[in-house]
Amino acid sequence: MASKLEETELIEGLRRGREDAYRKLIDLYSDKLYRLALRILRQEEDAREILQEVFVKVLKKVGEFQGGSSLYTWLYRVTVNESLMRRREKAGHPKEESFEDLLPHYEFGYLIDDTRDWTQGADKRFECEEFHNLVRQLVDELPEELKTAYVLKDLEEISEDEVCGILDITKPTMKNRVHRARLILRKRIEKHYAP
Amino acid sequence: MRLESLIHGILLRTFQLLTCDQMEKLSYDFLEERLPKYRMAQIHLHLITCPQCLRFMRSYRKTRGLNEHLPRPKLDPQFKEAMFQFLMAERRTH
Repeated sequence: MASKLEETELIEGLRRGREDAYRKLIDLYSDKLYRLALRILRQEEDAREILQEVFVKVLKKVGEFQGGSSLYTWLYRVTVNESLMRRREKAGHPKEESFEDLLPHYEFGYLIDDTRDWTQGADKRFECEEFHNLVRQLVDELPEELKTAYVLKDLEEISEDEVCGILDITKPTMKNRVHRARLILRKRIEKHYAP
Repeated sequence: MRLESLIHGILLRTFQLLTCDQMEKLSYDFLEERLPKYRMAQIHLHLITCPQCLRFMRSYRKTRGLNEHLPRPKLDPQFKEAMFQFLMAERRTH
């Protein structure tokens, strides 16, 4: 992430159409935005196309950029929105699946689920390609709102304030979405490794 | 299970300990280590006395840390250069 001064200079350079500004834009953000699009779309080709669309949008709209949010936030927001639109075009609106049975269940405040421990030896398992594919699939199957919050916060390690800015949501909403995503993933990994 | 849950719930409330559902709601902030000390202590105490929640918290922590184990793909330099050239061509027509 660029400092405030660097970002101001970068935006000015982009407005003027300077080559060095576009090189810097690509250097600073292309890998991060590509990875974000890839986490949402899972297809490399789609993620590359989205990245190109995002940068073309920058080229066309940077003159209108008001600086109400940071360039960083704007780029991430556009990437999330474009990726979600692409995903809906390809897959249609996913049918609403109930994840209630994957959330913890309580009686009188007491956890009544049979919670099993899948963390023993997990680090070694986590390094396998099979596990990476499983996580990608499970993340992909999360409800859209939970997935975007989880990908930004936990997988891309973006600060809470930035995630709220990108998704235009409050901090309690962001925390709730990330928490629910973790609960669902936790249970689904448990079902896979400790059935 | 209902009687066991009821007894456990009564005990937790009697001694002003956290219930399992209260602990779950705090688990996000617990991992961020930004709860007040007394809350952190309450959670630790709960985890000592509740094996179910201990297993829950272990796996919840692991789930939060999945990013450490996933590859972080990067674009190859040729693609970046092609992207740059494409943008420069777009800029000329814009």
